Amino acid sequence: MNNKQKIYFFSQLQTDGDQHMVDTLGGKGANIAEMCKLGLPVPPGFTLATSLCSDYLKKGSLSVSLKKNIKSNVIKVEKVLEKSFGGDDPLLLSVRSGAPVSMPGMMETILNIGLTSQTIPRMIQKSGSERFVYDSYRRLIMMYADVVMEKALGLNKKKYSIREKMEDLLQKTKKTKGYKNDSFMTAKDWKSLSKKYLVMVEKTFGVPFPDNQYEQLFGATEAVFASWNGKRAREYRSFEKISSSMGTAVNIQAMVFGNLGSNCGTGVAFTRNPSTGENVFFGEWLPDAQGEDVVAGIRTPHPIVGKKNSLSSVMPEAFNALNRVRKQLEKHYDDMQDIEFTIQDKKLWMLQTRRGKRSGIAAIKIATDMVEEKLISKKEAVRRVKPLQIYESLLKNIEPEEIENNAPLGRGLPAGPGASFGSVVFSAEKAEALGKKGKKVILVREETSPEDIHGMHYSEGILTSRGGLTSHAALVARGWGKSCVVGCQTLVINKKSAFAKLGNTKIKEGDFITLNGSSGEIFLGRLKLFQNPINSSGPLNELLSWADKIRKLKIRTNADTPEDCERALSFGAEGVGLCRTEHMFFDEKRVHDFRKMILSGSEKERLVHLKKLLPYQTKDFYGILKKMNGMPVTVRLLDPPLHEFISINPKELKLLSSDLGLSSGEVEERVKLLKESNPMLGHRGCRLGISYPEITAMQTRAILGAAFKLQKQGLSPKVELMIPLVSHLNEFVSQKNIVMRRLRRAKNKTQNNFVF
Amino acid sequence: MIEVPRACLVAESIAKNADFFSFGTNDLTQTTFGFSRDDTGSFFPHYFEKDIISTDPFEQIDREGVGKLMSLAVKDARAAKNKISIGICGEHGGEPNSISFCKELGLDYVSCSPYRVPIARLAAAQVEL
Repeated sequence: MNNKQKIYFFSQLQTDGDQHMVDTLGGKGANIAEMCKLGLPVPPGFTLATSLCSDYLKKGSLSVSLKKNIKSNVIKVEKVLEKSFGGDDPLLLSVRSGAPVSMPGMMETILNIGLTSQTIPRMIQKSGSERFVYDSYRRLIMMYADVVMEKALGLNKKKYSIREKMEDLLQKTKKTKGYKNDSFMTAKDWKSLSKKYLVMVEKTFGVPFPDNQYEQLFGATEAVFASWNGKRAREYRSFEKISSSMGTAVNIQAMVFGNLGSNCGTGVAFTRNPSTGENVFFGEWLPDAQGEDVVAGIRTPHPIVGKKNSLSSVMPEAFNALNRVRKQLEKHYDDMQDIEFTIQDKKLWMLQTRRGKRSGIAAIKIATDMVEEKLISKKEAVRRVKPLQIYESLLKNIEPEEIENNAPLGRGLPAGPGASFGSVVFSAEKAEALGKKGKKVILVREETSPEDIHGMHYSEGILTSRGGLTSHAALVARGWGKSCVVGCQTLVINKKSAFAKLGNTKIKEGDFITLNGSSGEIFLGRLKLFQNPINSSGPLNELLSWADKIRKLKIRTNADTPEDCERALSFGAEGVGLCRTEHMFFDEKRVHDFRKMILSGSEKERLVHLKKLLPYQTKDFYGILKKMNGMPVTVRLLDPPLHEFISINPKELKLLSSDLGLSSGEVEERVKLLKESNPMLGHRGCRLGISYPEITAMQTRAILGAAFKLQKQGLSPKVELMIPLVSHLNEFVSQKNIVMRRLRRAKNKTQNNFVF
Repeated sequence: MIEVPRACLVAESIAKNADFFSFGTNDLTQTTFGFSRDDTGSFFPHYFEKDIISTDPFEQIDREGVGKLMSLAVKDARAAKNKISIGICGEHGGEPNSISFCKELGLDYVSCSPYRVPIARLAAAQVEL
């Protein structure tokens, strides 16, 4: 096999790949190549194709010819930069993963490769900063020990990971010296820490830390390939339904440094605001720092644009260069980009660009704005927004300023999007009891099981300490569109005493918390939430009006009340596709009449009770048909869950027996007759209408009554009658005949167009 | 309303007597799989974990089984009555992948809960692109 074609070089002078080669180069590699083609300042390097990943995973090692080929590409990088890997003016390399689909944080990165006992003194001489070199060295040792020696080679089987050990040692050092943070560490401190790390590596793994630049490079490359099959990555793929066969590419690239003094810095930015979609440059940067410092949250990053400490005010030249890149990238990709950059000695280097992830609201705003800016067509805007982003944009969110002013108590996995707040309860029973009274509750459990369903139903949100994104709680919450955070490891529940600890904060039953199911964050108290209204004129309405011109399928709604109809109309429904009539009987007064009807001993008796239900039904249909004037409304004849109607409490039983003129024993006998062992397959749907044709007749009368009244008022109701649970033609015909008879009887009174 | 497998199988004769069809895909999924929707919580987690099924058929129409019944019913109904109006009114009506399937089947409309109407409007447009 010829490895030559499987390594793609990139630099501002010569680039083999481009943005369309995502399958081969991975997303990161393809976009780096594209940036090079655009002439943007990108540190040179090369990408190992994804197919090499599966080769590696099959063989378990890099072939001799591949190693040779990597070496010849390193030489090309050396030539571009006039530095040498392991030489006098040392070149340092980074090794990063990059799969064809985005898997954020799932795979590995190793920086500063090429620092050895030979190159360290030369680097100190060239950079003029011993502190910088040893800081870089200790980062290399930690990343390498963690990713290559521990994870990829599996050398350490202990639970206490090498990374934790090293972090703890750093914390201890700072504590002894009384340093507040890393920036107080001196050259001497980093140097001595590096030495201790080296000892730790040899002691833990039984082999020394590699002191040869190519040994480091090949080790790192193998580890990044191997990380494709790491536990985290496999789980993420199975959850996101990403094929395991594609493999990851590996990007080997010259290092540039943002931590070489005050003329340096590093940052991440979005070409537009990713939460609101506004067309403003949005991002954060840190002076004198390496990339991971921005993300790690140890130092508070500064804004790219703004007053205090912003990049635009501190380094205007670099900012102007970055702003030009921002515009060029947007114009080239016709989409909002998420970029990473480093500034070394005031010179801007671009490290990454990719399609920026965005909130639902932002997706809609950006798509419609870009149509106005003539960057994309209306069709493209419709294509670009994901349907679920519309759903997300309609959910409740936490007010942005509330997020700024409140630190989360803890964090779990974002399992059900949207935000919610409520008082904490620790059992499904309590959730149901309070929820039924209209109280807002958050159900907090170690994990949920099917027995908790009823309580989950009445909860605003669900928080669990265990479980992943496919756990029971997560599945149920997403199904119901409830906000949900799962697997919050800092949550400890003490159920007996009805309190929990979230980190260091004690939470009692009844305390208010707010969940952000889109980010996984948990806040104390009631944070202000907001919900985007749809019926205002705005980007969403604009986008949907374009969609309406393209689509051919009609969209109707399932609605049982005039309120449902009104909401659906504001959302753009073109009719009612399902109006369930059984819900109309759940009201306390009506349920009593309904029970009398189904417990009647004879048809005659039943007719008496049905007559009482007729005005209710007529009123219900009148309201719905009026709202939906001129649009089709499909009414489904009664399909009651009979078992729900016959769970009767003693008080209700007493009232029934007096109304029916029966002893309570007799009523219970009749109830018993209606009990079924499998209600979902029992006496429901048209089966009920066949046993009791008078119900069908009554419903038809109610509908006709409502329709005729509306016609008299000059409106045009359009009703379609639907017969539920038909399995045999004769069932259908029997019900249809009842309806048609009623219709014929009524026809002499007025004209009505009926279909079913 | 077409919501049990037998109705799909005899769609031709029902269509001759009916003015429209509406698939109740919740019940059709229940009765085709023989799953009780309210009881899936006890075994679905195992099904997902062991890759027995990859998506919840109550969320996304199972094209292979339930979908085949629907497709058969549409074909036979249209053979009996060319212009018969056909839609769906299960919760699938607001789920993008299922909407795309409804388009493939040649349905006239989908019906979903009010909050899903905007999603359905966009998804129905994307199917045409």
